[in-house]
Amino acid sequence: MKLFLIITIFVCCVLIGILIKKYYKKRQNFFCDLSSFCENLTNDISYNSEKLDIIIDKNLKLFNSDINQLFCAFKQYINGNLSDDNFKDNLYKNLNFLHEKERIEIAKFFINLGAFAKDEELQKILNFSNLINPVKTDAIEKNKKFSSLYFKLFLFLGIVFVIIFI
Amino acid sequence: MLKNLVPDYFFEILNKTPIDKINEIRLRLDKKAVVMIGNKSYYLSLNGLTGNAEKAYEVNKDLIDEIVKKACENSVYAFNYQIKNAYLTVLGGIRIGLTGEAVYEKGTIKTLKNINGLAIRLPHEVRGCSLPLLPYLFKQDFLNTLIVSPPGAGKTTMIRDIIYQISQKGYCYNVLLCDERFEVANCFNGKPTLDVGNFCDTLSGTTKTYAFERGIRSLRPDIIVTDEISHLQDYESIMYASTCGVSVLASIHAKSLEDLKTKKDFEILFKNKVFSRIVILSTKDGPGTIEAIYDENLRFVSL
Repeated sequence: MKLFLIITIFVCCVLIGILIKKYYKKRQNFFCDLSSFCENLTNDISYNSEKLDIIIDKNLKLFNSDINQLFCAFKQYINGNLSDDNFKDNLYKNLNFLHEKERIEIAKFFINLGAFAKDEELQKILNFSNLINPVKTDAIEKNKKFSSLYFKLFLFLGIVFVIIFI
Repeated sequence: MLKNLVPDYFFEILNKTPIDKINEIRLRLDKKAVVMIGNKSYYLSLNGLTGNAEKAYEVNKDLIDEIVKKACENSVYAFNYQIKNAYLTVLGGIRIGLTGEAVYEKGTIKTLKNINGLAIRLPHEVRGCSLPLLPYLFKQDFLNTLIVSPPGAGKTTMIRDIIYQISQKGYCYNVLLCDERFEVANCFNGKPTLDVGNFCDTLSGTTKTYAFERGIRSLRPDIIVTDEISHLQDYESIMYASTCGVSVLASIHAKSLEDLKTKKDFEILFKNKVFSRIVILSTKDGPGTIEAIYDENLRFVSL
């Protein structure tokens, strides 16, 4: 019984460490991909005037992170299968590592995407990139700083518990 | 077609009208919505058609913006060429005329902003509408033909049917369609969404000058078809085609032969007797009514 309890506590500590590590990793990947998407979007609109559904399809193949959930929801939105509110709800459900303010800004950007003439659209994308880039830098730094730190901390905590109980 | 263009709530309102018979929907910002059926205009109310302006549905900015966004397949920036030329052509051949404020850059119109009015024109494929006309358009070969009518009198529908009938009647003419505004064949991803027959090649979105010059060189057309010629460059393109031994079918806005004679620069086509058939259409007995046919000497050809 005691051994089972020790193992359970140790596993829980490790799991919490892994979850925290994953959280920082997810945020870093998401914002890096979102920033790259903005660059792709700018190029596709500036040079090819490519339509949004084609751009989204292309980017769905390029990325392999949680941003694809956002793209899938957005595709449904532009095809008329999701309302504004349902699109926002989808972000809450699937991208729960985002902060409230970030979710609002991202939803606002995507809902208005494609509604403007070329220059205005490119300016909106630039503004959004300027908003996202500091968050991306912060997410990279925090991932570097905290993800392994928290993982090691909880691993250490697990080991301490094991030692104490033994 | 219309269902994908307008918001659901507005489609529900339209659904309370004889929707299949609507020719045109007029939406003007802060004004009452109007639909045209045949030659008559009606206000659109929440319960269908009405003659009472007070009961009519008032158009708001959101409705206009949403229709424009949907018409542009959520990519307004990709349709700038059309928007700056004050129109949009939607899948299925729906044509939308736009009003708003022009934005200038270096002396030319860059785009249209604050769009405040839409004239949504719904296409109707009237199969066989050109059949009474066809016997007058051939004398061994296809005669250079000009379809003349005011807006909304069925020029585009007539032209589309002539192209279709040419391939159906076994004439085996190669037809090159210069569809500058995507209105005749309404190509979507390169595929015509309106039937223009088996012998028709379509060059969409290009100027008439480009289509006539390149098309004649590379596609060996017997007949070149174009909609709505309007200025000297278009007339010169037609002159060029007729001197290359290619027949031309074109259309132009005018109410009568007299109107046509007063058009600036048009006299080069008259002087050179380019068109052997000038067909005047009206809406007298509904769009596409053939009023008169004239020959190259502007003599009446009996119907």
